[in-house]
Amino acid sequence: MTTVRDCDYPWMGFMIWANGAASCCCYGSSPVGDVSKTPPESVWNNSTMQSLRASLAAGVVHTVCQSGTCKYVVGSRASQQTTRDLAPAPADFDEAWYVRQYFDVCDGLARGVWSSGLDHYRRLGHREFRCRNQREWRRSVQQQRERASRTRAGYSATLSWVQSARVREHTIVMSVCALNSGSIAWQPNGQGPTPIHASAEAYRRLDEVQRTRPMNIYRRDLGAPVEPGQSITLEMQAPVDDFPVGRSFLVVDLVSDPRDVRLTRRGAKPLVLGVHRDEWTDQIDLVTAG
Amino acid sequence: MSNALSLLNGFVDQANGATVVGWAWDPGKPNEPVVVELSRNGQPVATVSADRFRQDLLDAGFGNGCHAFEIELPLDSLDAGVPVFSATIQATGFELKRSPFRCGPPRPERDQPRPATTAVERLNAEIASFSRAWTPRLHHENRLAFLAAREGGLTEIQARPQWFMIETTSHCNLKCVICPHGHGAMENASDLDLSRFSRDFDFLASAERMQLFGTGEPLLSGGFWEILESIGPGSGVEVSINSNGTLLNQERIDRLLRSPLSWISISLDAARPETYRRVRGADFDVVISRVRDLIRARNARQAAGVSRVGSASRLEIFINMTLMRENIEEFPEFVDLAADLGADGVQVCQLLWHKGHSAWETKKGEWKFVYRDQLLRNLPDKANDFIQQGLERAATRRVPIVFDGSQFERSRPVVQGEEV
Repeated sequence: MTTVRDCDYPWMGFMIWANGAASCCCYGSSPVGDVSKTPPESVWNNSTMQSLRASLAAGVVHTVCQSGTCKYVVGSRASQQTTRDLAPAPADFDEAWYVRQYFDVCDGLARGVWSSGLDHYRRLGHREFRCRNQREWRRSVQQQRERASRTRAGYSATLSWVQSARVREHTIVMSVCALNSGSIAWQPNGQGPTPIHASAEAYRRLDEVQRTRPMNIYRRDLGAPVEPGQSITLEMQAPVDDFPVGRSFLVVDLVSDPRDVRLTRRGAKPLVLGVHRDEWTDQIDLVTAG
Repeated sequence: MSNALSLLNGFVDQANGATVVGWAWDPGKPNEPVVVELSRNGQPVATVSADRFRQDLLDAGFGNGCHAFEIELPLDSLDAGVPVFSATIQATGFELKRSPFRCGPPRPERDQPRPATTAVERLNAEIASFSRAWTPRLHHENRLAFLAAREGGLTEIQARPQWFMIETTSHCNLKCVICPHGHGAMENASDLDLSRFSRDFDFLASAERMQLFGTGEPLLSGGFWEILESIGPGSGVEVSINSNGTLLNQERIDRLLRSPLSWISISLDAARPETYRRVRGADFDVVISRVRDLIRARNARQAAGVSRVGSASRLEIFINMTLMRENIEEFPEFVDLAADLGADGVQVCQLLWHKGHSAWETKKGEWKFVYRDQLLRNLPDKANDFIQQGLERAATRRVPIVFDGSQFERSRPVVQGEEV
C-alpha cells in the first residue's frame, strides 16, 4: 500500500502563495514557512522541513500533513494506528526554543491547534524527529553533517567497454564494465524505491532534417546489489531488427527509471556505440566511442 | 500530447519491390482505421487507410483487427537514388516501427562500386560529435543530489526544488462564480513580497517546471513579470500559467512572446457570449479578440523565425473550460471554438466537490448560481453524453484535449453520478 514513505514532495517541490506561505504540496498540507519573512532557500531546509523529511522517510504522518488528503496520507492512515497516548513530558523540554525553532508548531499555536509547544510535542512532535532543546539540535546538526560527508559522492557510475560491440545471432551485443564510483550501493529491481538498471538508449540520425531523434530503450536488471567501489560486467543486447536503415547511436549508462536520472555524471565521457545498417545489403557496421 | 503519441502503434512488416505491408493503430479510437502516410525525403508520396482485417491483430488486442494496410508505391517515387521511405500515422508524426525502410528495385550486384564516402565513414565522423553533444539533461546534477539525499537519509539537502508553484498574486480583475473571488472569499488577497528572494532568483534556477499562477490573475502582478523575465536562456525550465486573458493587450502579448513562457491556458468556460457573461462576468467578444491577437502574434513570430529565451521554441496556447451544469452542452462548441481560433488544444476539468464551496450561491439578475447544483455528478448521463460529443468533435477537427485525470473516473473523461 502507498504510504507517506513513498512521498517525494518535500525533496522535490515547493509551493509559494501570495501571502508568503510556503508548502510542499497542494493536497491540504499546512505551511512549512513564510517567505515574506525568511529567504525561500532557508525555508527549504528549515527545522520543520527537516523534521518533515525525516518523518516521511520513517513512515510517520507529520504535523503539516495532518489535514492532507493525498494518497500517501490516506494510505498511511489506513495501515497505521491513528490514536495514540500522550508521550510523557520530557524534563529537558525548552518551550520557548521549541516554538521558535519549528514554524509549523508556532503556526499551529497561533491558530489554536495546540495549547503549547509541549502539548504539540507530547501529541505528535515526539514521533517526528524533532529536538527538545538547542543542545539536542546542535548534536543533530553534527550528525547530519557527518552523514552528508559520507554520502557526498552519492550516485556515480564510471563505464568502459569490456570488448568491442558485436553482432551475434541477429542481436547487437555490448559488453560493459560498470564501476560504482559513488558512495551509495546500487540496488537491483525489487529492492527499495530506487532500483538501478543497466540501460542502452537508441537514437536515430535523420539526414533529411539534420537531427538525431530518440528511438528505443533497452534495460537490464543488475541481478545483485553493487556496493561502492565494486565493478560489475554487463552484457546489453539490442535486436538488429530494431535498427532502421541508416545511422543510429546507442548510449549505454546506469539509470534509475523511477527517479528519471542517469548515473554517469556530467562531464564524464558517455559510452556510445554507432550503428550503421546498409540500405542495400542490410549489413550492420558498429563503431564504438567512450 | 506526448503521452497520446506514445500510445499509437504500428509496424512496417514487409517492403518488397513497390509493395509495402504493415499495420497501424490508435488506441484512442480502437475500432477506427488510421491513415498511414508514406514519404520520401520528407515529401509525402502516398497515403493508405489501415483498414484491412488481420486475425493476428485481433488476437493481440488491437481493436477489431481491421488495422492492416498494403500499398503499391507510385513508380516515379522509386526511381533515382536509394529509395528510402518513412511511414507515419497521418497528422500525428508518429512513425511506424521498422521505418524508415528501403523499397524499390533489387539490390545492386556485389561487384557494383559503392560510393567513395561510405555511410560507415560518415558514422565514424559523426560518433565523436554525437558523443560530445550528448550530455545528460541540464538538471541532471540536481536530480542526483536529490537521489543521494533521499537514499542517504539526509534531511538538510543540497538539492533544490525540481518544480515550483508560485502564486505571485491572489488578486483578480474578474469575479467568476466558480472561484473564491466570486463569493467574497478572497478579502485578504495580496501580492507576493519578493524582497526575501535573492536579486537573480537563484533559488529557482534548478527548476524543471514552474507554474506561475494560483488563485489570482498573473498578468496583473509585477512579481509575475519579474520572475518570468529573470529566467535566462538555456534554463531548460517549462513555465506555465493560466490566465483569464482579459488583460492581453499588445504590450503584454509582446512581453509574453519574448519571455520563456512555454504554456498559457486561457480560462473561458464557455463557447457562447451569454454563458461567458454569466460565469465570468466579462465580454466574450473582447476576450476572444485578445486570444486571437495572441495566437496571430505567436504565429507571426514563429513564421519569421524569431528565437525565444529559454527552452520553449514555441508558446503553446490552450483554452480551458471547467465543466458544470451551466456549460456542459457547450463542450462540443468549445472544441470548435479552439479549432477556429487556431489554439493548440483544449484543457478540461470539472467543477470540484469541496466542502467549503458547497454553500456558495450568487445571483446575477434573474440567474442564480448554486455551486453544489452545478456539479456534473448531479447529471452524469447528460454530462457523459456531451463529453463524448466533444471528444468526437475533437477527433474530427483534430483538436487535442487535455483532461485533468485526477478529476475524472480512472483518468478517463467519465463522470460518476453520486450523492452530494
